[in-house]
Amino acid sequence: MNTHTNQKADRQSRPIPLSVLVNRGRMIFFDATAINAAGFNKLLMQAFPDLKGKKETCLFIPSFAAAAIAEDKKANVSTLIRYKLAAVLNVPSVRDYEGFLPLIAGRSREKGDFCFLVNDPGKARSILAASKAAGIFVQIFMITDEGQLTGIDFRRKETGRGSGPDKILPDAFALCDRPERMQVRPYRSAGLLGPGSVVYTEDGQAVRLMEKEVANVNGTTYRTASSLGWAKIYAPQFMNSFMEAKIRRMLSKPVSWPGLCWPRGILRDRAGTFVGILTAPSRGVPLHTTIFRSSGLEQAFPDWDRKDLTDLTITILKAFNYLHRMNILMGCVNPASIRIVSPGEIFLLDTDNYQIEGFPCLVYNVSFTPPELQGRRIYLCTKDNEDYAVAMLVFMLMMQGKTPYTIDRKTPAAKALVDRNFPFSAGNLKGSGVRNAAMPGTWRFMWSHLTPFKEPFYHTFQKGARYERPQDRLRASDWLRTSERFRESLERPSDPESLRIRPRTFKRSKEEPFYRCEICGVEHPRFYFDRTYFDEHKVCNGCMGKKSDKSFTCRSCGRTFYYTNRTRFFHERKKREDADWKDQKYCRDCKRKTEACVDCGREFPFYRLRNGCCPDCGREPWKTKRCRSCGRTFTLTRADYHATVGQGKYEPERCPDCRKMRRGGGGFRF
Amino acid sequence: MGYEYRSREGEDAFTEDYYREYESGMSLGDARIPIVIVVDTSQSMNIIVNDPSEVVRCAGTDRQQDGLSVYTVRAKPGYTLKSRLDACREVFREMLVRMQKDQTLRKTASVCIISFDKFADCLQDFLTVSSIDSSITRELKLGAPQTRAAVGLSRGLERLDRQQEMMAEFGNDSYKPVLIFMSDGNPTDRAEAYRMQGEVRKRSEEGTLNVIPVAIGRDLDESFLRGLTGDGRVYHMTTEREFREVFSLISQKIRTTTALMPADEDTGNMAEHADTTVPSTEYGSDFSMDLDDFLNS
Repeated sequence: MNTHTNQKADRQSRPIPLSVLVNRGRMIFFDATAINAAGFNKLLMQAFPDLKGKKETCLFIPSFAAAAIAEDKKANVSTLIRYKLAAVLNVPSVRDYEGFLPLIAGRSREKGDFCFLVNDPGKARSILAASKAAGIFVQIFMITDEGQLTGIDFRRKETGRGSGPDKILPDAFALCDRPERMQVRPYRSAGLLGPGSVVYTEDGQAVRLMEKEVANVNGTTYRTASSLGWAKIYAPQFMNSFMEAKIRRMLSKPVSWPGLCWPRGILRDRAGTFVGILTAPSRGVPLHTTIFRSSGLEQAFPDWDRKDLTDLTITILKAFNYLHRMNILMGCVNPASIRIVSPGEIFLLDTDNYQIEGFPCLVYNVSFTPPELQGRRIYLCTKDNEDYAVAMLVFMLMMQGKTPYTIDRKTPAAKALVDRNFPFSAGNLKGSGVRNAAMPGTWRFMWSHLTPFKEPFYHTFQKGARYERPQDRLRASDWLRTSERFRESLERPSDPESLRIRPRTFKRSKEEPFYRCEICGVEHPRFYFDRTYFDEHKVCNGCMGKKSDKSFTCRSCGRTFYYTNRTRFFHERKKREDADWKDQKYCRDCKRKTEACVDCGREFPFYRLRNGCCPDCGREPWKTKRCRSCGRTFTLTRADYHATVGQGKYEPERCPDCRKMRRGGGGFRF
Repeated sequence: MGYEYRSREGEDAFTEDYYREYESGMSLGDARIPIVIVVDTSQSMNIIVNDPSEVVRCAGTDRQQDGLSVYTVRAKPGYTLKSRLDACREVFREMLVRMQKDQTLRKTASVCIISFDKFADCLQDFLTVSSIDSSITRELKLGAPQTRAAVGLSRGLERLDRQQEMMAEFGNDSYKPVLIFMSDGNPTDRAEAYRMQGEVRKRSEEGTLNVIPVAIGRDLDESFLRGLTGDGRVYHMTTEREFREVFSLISQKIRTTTALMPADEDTGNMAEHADTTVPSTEYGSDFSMDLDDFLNS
């Protein structure tokens, strides 16, 4: 028996009245979320005439669901029960649908006669999962505000934005679409500030600057001798009324999250000029040099696996979620200002760069700027804009530093961000930047194990896909849910390779047979083997391009060259087919070192020329002479000419044998 | 006319260095900035770079060599003769050492070294800077009395294309490559050389190649070198001090091309920090100078 499919959901997206199901003899189960929905009363009113005509009760409420019915809906439900139009199914030992579906499975008379009305996507998913486990076909609807039934699109709810906006916190800042109107007045500090300098808080406490801890374009952060925290002293171009006003705005609300290095106070020099801020101390290693680089991760966190990386992603997303609920936007996501201590502990530095109300972020980078803002230098971004940067960050976390678009000679970075050819596929959705999936590469392996992320990433980064419009983008909270689901799946992974940060092969699937490569020893899917040689050698595509033990030494340059495994197999096959197959003698580079034959002018590899003559011209006879020593006639060729007369020397007077003897090659001849 | 080399199946044979990069690219997937250094090793690189006050001309030694009129000199007491190639080797070595010391470049830059005179030779296939032995500079030896710039440039571009194609097959990112062309600027293969010059300039103007022409020697005809880039910029090296200055600049240019995030390679406003030992959280551009306009527009 099949379960409810997405195609079915598409057909059922058209609203239908309850009476349609009633008249078809369906057994209809109400979840509390449907009963509590706004359209429940209208639903009943519209269906009442059809319900009255039914001899058998067809509306049911499981007892565990009845317990959650809202007070204002209980009266209506009681009425339905009194008139035997609905019944509560008493199942005291059952607390959820996972236990409920098997109990009723035996009562199913035909496919689809069980209909569940539920207005919560999570509950709907659990009903779907339970029905699949029980092996029965169910239909799932939700009640609209107009009292109609409509199908649930599991795809969208699974990967799309959660229903409703994220809840804004009470102390949140305002979200502004206009900048703070003010004149930017530069300040001048009384003197140069550095280690050893003393600055002052607003209440006059002295803070001595110690060692430099962090530097960036807008200032340097120093460890201090004070327990108040660290001091960030601004660069001259940032000591101005804008920054002071921004910091004051930041200080006007209580902002607190573990690891968030929010300003703690304003710092002034001895003349009272604004010079910087107090901030929380931080520690940890930078995200971009560790997590985003294989060598960096190996050095900083050698024991991490995919669970740790996912935990880190969740930690970062929770911080983002909090910031967004406080209406704080990063403006320009900067992985360099995210410091990692452990999967559950991070520090967010340079929060004074964040966008706060009408105060924009002043640093910019192309990578995390959404397409609609590319080319703009300063801007006030919206949450929809920032959702792109969040998605980019999640992608780079899950793919260990890889950006969504491949940058190469033909596609520089700026063009890649315009073209948006996503180089990966998600099921039947193929990115327009996909190259041959059977080619070797760690990224392809890594991608194959990111099942819950595939569609969301595809729809976010592929041009023309579902989340292309800013308003359709997934939020930080959506990515957080996906990450948490992924993390759950790693507790009992279907493929242990999924636990590696860098899997050695593709994720196993039931349909695809796997074979062990005779070189690397890793089991790969069939499509990852070269079909030309598969029957003789089970060598994966990655190993096909590696060095074999077959080599040759170039007779010209003397360097040794090794064949790839693929080429080695090619040679082996050729030798079997052709007994005259010869080993290579010259390398490609030497074969291209050509010179013109002095006679015919044609280009030849220089090693084929003798005294400047090509083989053809060299064999051409020049003249016949009589040997002065032995008296026999001999022929001089063009090659001989160029070796002697051509170089200003005399013609040979003796035959080759006599010349050889004269040079000490043997005894006399008569 | 006549022979033209065509690659045939069964000739995929490479050096050990190539396979090291292959395995690294396949298993690590790190982005790379490919740098090919094409060095002129023709006879004209034997010309001395000493100041005229340091040498004495030997009478009766005038002759033609590698398309130039040359004569022999000897060093005055207390001075040592230094040829263009000697000086080139020194700064070349220093450039490699500096790249190896740079935390970003040592793991990101892959360097290939091509020498050319009558023919082009690949002295070093692409290899991560951290793996290169700086004694490779000893492989730069004086060659034939011909300066066929076309074969040098052609081999350099071909190696760059091959490297980038390999990276692309793996799905790895590849930053804008760099071609450093070091010559005394007198190609003897005029027509072919200028054809290749056009190819290189085209790539430079398209923005797909960073070209750094380096002129080695005094009183040079720089027209060929200037034609390699759209802006006609040529770096000079006539004394040791200049060598060091210019290669420091080149290293910096390569470093700013190598952004922490690949898309930032064209930002022009990256600040330089005097203290490079302090960790930085900065990358990308700073637009604080445009703030007033933004706030009050």
